[in-house]
Amino acid sequence: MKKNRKIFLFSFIAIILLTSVIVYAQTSFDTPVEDVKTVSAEMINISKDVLKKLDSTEQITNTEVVYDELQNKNFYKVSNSKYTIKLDEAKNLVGVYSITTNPITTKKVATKEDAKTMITNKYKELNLPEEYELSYLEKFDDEIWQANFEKNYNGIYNKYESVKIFFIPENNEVVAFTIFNEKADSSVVSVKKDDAILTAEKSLDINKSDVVSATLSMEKANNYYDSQNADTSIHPSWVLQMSDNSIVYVDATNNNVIGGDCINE
Amino acid sequence: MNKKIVSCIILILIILTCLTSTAHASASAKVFSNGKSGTYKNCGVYAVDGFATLGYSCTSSMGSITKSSMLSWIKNTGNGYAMYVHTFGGSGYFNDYNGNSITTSDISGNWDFVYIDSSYSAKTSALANAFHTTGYSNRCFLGWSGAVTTGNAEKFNYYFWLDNVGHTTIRLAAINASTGVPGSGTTPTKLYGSTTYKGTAR
Repeated sequence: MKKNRKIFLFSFIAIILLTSVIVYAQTSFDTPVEDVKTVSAEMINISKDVLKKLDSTEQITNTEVVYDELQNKNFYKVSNSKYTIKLDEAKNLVGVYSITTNPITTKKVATKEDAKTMITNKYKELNLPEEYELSYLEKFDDEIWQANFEKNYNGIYNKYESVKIFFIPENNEVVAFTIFNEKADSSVVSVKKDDAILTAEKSLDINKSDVVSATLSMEKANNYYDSQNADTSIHPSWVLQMSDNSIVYVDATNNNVIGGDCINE
Repeated sequence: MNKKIVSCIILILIILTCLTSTAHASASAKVFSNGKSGTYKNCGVYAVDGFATLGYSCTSSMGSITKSSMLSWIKNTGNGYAMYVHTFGGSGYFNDYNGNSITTSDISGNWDFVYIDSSYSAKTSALANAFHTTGYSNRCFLGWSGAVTTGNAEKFNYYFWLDNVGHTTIRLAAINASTGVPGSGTTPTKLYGSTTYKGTAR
């Protein structure tokens, strides 16, 4: 009888000890030893100022540092119950993202002019880049509108120097935006459309008759056609859309294929 | 004393069995990603991660996805309530690796969250209706109302699945993620169904 009790007690203690060891080991291995990043008090204050301009007075509920694999950078997030504010390492505002939106209470539906007035005023209030100009304004769904403010290089907008913003004009409410600030390598367009098509023909063995459209825009070089290409700079480019839905970027300054993409249709 | 020990062990086993069966009761999701897209691996991996965040038990099929494997999931009679397909397609259909289309007439069942990641998948409500994701408070369908490139879809999916899903509604997660892809016509997302649904597994 006593022997059974001892065995039971011994097994119980052994299980507790083993569990403690496993939990301790896991916690120890999971905790980073060095380079612990935190959201600073200054970042929280900057975020509070942004929240104030967004008419969001709710308490800060969360802060976190996140690693963005696509940009190979850490970003710093400060949230309340309405918004998440994202800052970069230099404490610059990168974006604002909604957790909730307010219901529309007014019966008057905003016109395009109302939407333009609201978003241009809000853009100034938020001290967003002055050198970007409104390049796009359309209704996105039943309630939300989308606007883009972009840097204009002699008539070619650079989407990589832009602010992409969603908002509800009836509520004077910003839903979300991201600020992009990557300058173009050049703004010189010295290559004609036909020359760009010829370059694509020679470089990629494509047929001129398969080119569906050719438009000028700022594009980022990539490794779509050359897996060795590590260049990710931005160039004024001829964007050639092919009949098989592939896309070719030809540098409009140097007349080289700098990358491409594909429409998933 | 022996009887007490045996009773204790039986009780623990019963509790463990109950807990295990509860854990298995969470809804399942499946990710299909077409190897013909240059970004299929990343898009698939992001979605698996996102479904896990939403509480789904998720499996995936990436590369040479077939119409029959997708239909087998679509017609499942088990616990499958969500799916993501990264592929090529158009309004009212989406394709497998070999270009065989799945159309609205192939689709059945009641789905909580479906995201068909191919151009024009949400140009009309046809696919959303076929999956029965419209007209309910806890169901929605996400897709593209226009053309989208695989490069832009990859960026969108990164921010949608890894940065936003689980923190807000599917509608706002898609809008927040859209801002991460520069350009005006680059992310023509379209949501059908509930605008307040967070996509959480039942």
